[in-house]
Amino acid sequence: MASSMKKGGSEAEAREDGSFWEHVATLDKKLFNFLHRSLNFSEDSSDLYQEVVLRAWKYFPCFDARRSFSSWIFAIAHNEIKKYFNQRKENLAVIPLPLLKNDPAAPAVDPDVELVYGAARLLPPRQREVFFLFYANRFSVAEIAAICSLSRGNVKFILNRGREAVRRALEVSHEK
Amino acid sequence: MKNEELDEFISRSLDKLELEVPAAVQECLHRRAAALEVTPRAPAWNRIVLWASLSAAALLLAVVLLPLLFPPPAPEKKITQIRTEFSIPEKNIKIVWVQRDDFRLPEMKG
Repeated sequence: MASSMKKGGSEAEAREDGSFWEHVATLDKKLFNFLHRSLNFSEDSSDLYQEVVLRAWKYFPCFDARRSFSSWIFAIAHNEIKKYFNQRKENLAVIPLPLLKNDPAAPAVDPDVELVYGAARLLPPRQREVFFLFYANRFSVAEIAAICSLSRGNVKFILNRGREAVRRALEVSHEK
Repeated sequence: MKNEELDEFISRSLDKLELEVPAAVQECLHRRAAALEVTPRAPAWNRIVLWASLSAAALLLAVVLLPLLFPPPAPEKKITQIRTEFSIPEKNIKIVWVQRDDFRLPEMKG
């Protein structure tokens, strides 16, 4: 990863070389999907995605190039999601997965996908974030602990709960 | 299903549903970022001068308002003399006894 923090340089200089957008381009789809999944594919997800990237853009001059850019931007996303749920009093308007098929970019939803997302939706917001960071974004337990400011033990506990939720959903679907 | 198999199943299922970032969202994002960049920011010295003058004005206001809001306590009143009058009208006698703060009884000798 190219050094993005220019000590002694102005904020504008740090952004001018375009390295920010190069970094973002490598993981914008992952970030976009993470936010959609964490917000249960709510209509606000796209707005929140923009807020996260703009916040990262604003603070990019302070980004320490020794750190991982993906962990840094996902930590920003975690904070924005937390803020979003704190400000929001009513429940999220959940968009059913089959409706996503209206989006030409979205592939058809198969039963396994519905089952896993259905189980994830039952988890509280923070646990859902940890679940998706691990299973969809393939972050390690240590990275998730740093992103979400949790202990490793807590992350493992949450992942176990998510796994058990999916296992239960699988058992119920087999019984049917 | 073992944990490893279940983990693999979950990851595979999640990967099946991946949304593309809409072009309109990307475009809006770049436009907003450009607008943030263009927004002029006052130079550092400008901000320092502004804050210094605001602080000075606030200090001056405090200096002016403080005596008005909290006036100094009035000086303590001191009794400087005690005046006692006796009058006997039928004999046309009036005795005025004035006791001042420097009054002392004469010391008794012997």
